[in-house]
Amino acid sequence: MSAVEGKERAVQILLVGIITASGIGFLVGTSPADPDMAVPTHVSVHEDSNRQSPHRAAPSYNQQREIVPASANAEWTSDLSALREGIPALGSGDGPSEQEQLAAYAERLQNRAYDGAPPTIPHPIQSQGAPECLACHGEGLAVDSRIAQQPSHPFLTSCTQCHVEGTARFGGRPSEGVLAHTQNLGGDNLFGGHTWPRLGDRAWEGAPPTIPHPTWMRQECNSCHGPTGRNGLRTPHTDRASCTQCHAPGAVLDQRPLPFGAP
Amino acid sequence: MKLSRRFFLKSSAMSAAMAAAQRGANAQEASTPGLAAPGSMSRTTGDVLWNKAPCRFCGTGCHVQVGVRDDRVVAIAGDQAAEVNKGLLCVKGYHVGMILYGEDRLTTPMLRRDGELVPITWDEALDVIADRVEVDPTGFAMYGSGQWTIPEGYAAQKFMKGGLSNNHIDPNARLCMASAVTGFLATYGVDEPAGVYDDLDACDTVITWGNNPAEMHPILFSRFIDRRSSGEQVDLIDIGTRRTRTSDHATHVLQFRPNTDLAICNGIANLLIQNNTYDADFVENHCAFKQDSDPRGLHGEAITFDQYKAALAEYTPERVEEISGVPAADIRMLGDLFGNPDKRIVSLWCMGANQHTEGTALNTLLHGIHLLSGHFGRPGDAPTSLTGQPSACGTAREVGTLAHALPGGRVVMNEAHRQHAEEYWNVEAGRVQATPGYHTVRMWEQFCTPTSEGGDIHTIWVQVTNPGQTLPNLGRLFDGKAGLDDKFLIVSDVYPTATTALADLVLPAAMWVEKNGVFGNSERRTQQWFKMVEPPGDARDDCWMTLAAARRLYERGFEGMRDKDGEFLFRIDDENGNEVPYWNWANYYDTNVDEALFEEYRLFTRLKHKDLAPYQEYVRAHGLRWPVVETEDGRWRETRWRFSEFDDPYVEEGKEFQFYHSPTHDDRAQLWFRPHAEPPESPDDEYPYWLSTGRVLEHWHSGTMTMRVTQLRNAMPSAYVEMNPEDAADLGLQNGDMVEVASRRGAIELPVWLDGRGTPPRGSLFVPFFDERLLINRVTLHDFDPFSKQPDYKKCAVNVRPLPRQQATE
Repeated sequence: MSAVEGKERAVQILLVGIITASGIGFLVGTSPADPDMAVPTHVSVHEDSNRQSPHRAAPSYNQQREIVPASANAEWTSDLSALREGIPALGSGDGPSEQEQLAAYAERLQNRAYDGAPPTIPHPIQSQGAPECLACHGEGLAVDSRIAQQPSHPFLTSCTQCHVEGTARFGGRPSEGVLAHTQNLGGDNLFGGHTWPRLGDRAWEGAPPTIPHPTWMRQECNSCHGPTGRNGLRTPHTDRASCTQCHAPGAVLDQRPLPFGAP
Repeated sequence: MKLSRRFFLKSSAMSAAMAAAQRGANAQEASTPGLAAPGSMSRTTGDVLWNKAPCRFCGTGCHVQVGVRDDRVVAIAGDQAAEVNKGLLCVKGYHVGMILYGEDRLTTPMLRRDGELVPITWDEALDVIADRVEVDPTGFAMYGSGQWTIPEGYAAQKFMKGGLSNNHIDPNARLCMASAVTGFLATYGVDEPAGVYDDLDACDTVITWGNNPAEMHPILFSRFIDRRSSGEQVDLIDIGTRRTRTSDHATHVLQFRPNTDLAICNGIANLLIQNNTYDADFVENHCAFKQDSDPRGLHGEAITFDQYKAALAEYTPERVEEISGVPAADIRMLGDLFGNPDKRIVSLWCMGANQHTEGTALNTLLHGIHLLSGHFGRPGDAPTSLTGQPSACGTAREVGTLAHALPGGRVVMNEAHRQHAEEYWNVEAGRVQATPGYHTVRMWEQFCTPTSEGGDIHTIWVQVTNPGQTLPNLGRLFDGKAGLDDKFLIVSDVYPTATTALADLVLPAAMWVEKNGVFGNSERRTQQWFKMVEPPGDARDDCWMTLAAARRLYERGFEGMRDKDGEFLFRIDDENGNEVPYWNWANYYDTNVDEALFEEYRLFTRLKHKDLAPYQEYVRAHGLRWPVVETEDGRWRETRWRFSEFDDPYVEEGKEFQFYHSPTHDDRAQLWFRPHAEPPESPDDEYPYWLSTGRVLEHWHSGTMTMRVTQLRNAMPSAYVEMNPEDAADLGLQNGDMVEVASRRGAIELPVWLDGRGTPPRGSLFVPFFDERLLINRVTLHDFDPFSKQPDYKKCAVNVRPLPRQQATE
């Protein structure tokens, strides 16, 4: 191995280390209720000791390597097979219990103004651009209880035009000054949002239920009902890929243009 | 001919539609599933009644389906039948229903007595308005917006210019798209775009000029960006002064120094000529050349092609690089792009080009490079000026609620145009004054100047806008009102705002689907909706307020509110010829006042070929793009590509293209030469940074509505200042630190956000204007474009001073 190759290799390892570390940080520390959580963001190197600044200069990446060696931390295990725990095997199970369904439904509504509103994003995001959303959401991701759902409308690519942060963080470091300026204006909003029925109709007991919600912009059923969907909304038969061959959508629900009135 | 009496409710379709509207207002009655009535757009799912409405926010004009249950909006869906948005919305659109339900809606009229706003009755409020008019009708002004519905704007227009014989009416659109209008007039002789949104489906390349549609016009942005996910190649060239969300999707990002955009356009035009890649046939047959006259006038003076060519010659790519900072190679890239006839190119621009002291000039140049290169009038080839308000086009521009304008593209200075208005309004000759009223900046200057010092505007009635936040240089143009006891501010609004804070009379308004309305969007599309829920408390329609005030003046014997036969200026008759007393609120929805006003306004729309269809056609459609002409089979056909023979019915056969309102009356569009010019204020030692202001995705206009929507407020809770990270490092600033941003005019304190929504280059700042607690317009300047009188909110010189943390948190 030449010196140049060795250097490249070292850079690659370092990069892998950084990405892994930030990935872990992202997955373990994104509870929106935690106001102290810091998000990696631009850190300015400030080394002019003559200037009076109330802020500690951020360490450079080289310094960070010395402070925190770029290696696995104590919580990290690299058991990839463990990531699949909690995902039912193909064709198994009876489906979620009613309790699980209710819990999933309630959780789902937590970050929506009404059923059909785009959910707000329960974690901080980089504010510019869209492509990084797909790093986790592209194929869907489930790690322990945390899930990153697949987009239900993959043909739409400007994610952030509809999905906004549930809690803004100005890049992750809300200062006292910002908090002093972000008190709410005008009190509460008294809007009461509509929700769709939780269960679809069945023609008889044992018949496949119809789809109880609009399917417009929900063409990718796997987003909610697939392997990386919320526990309680997941289908018990993930091996069946052609959902609408048994589960019928509704023209009225979908608000399809109907030249002859309702069916 | 008593045209004001001609508007009877006689068609059965009308009755059906009204029935649908009534059902819409009382959702619990609508229990039958399916379409509510033939011709209406409503349907039910379960216990929710759905009906169409254009979105309340920007100029894109998306249609939403509004879900109503028990007299409340409970859900919103993108309207799949709408051509504009094809079932998709942006985050504001999905939450638009929530703007009705902020806890602090204004629900009762209030008058300031001894410094306090105290509740009064509507009856008293109407008398207060009439009193103020009678003080001196010529010093009474009206200030509205591009959020006025078409009937509201038309009523206000007629109230002022017909009723008070007073032209002091202007909309906030003056601050928003006035330079787009003068750009169209100077180029084509008639306002509004030739192209349509369909161009975004057909183009190969989109160029955004100082424009960030990923946040400001998200539906138009996704309309072309999402074509990439089906495998199409759509290039995006982002030409701007800072990196934005749009830049992240771009093929090329070109950053220029503020105010040097004219030089870039000249560089492109020069290359087209030098390389002989301009469209010689198009130019020969359809264009003429212009440059500024001395003194400058909107229509300048004619020049020859050789003069045009010679004037451009100095704008070599290298010279343009020197002026603008955009590399010469990139200027050549743009020159080659426009020189390629096989590419279809759409240019998009909005406030970046309009809020510019050379806004008119820049608008003409943007049209010019498309005309010169022949990238015009074919699907996918269009210079497209966007608007920021839902009816900036429909109301401010088409109804002409501007100090110099009359409906349908007319101007008060033109005698024939005044005669048309007097005829349609059935008033005596001479009623409409020939001198333009005060434009926005002047109106507020005069209002904030003591009467003894010549401030001859004593009262302003503000409807559907928030000048206390959105005027530039607020200290001069708004705050100056405080302490002037003989000045009186009337504000119709839905929430307390920076404007109601100084108001003497506050009138609670109904909003959006709490009333009937018609909007006109950026692609000439006129869109109608019906009232679906009752407004809260005593809130009432803006249109009713204007008409009820007119009626009160009429009852008090004010001559201007009579037509020449002595009848009420706004008389509306029922089918039996009896006058409908709609000025009584209880009777307001006995007739469709919107339809009556719209049908009268339609008479004005033929002169400039902006023909509108009857109101009922819009009830059945998701908007129609004018000119809408009646075909032989009695149907109404909209027009997509204006001035192009293949689609525009007003282009004569064989002409291919015809600019039939050419300012030179020879069917030619004008190609302007405009030199690069210095801005009125540039950074210097004392104020070393450029400041640009604008919007963010979540908030619309002054945030009055969107800051009351939990999801939008949480996502973007306060204004901030965006800095270049290296500038921040130089000042020892990190994310969240507080700074003071100060100009020669004023200062505010803001938190710093680095690498947030955008990243400005070194020496530049950006601050959004939505936050009424952090008013950046205390800092901006009010220099304006000489033709359009539109101020420049996009550049002034400021300083940044870091604040110690303890002070910031006090």
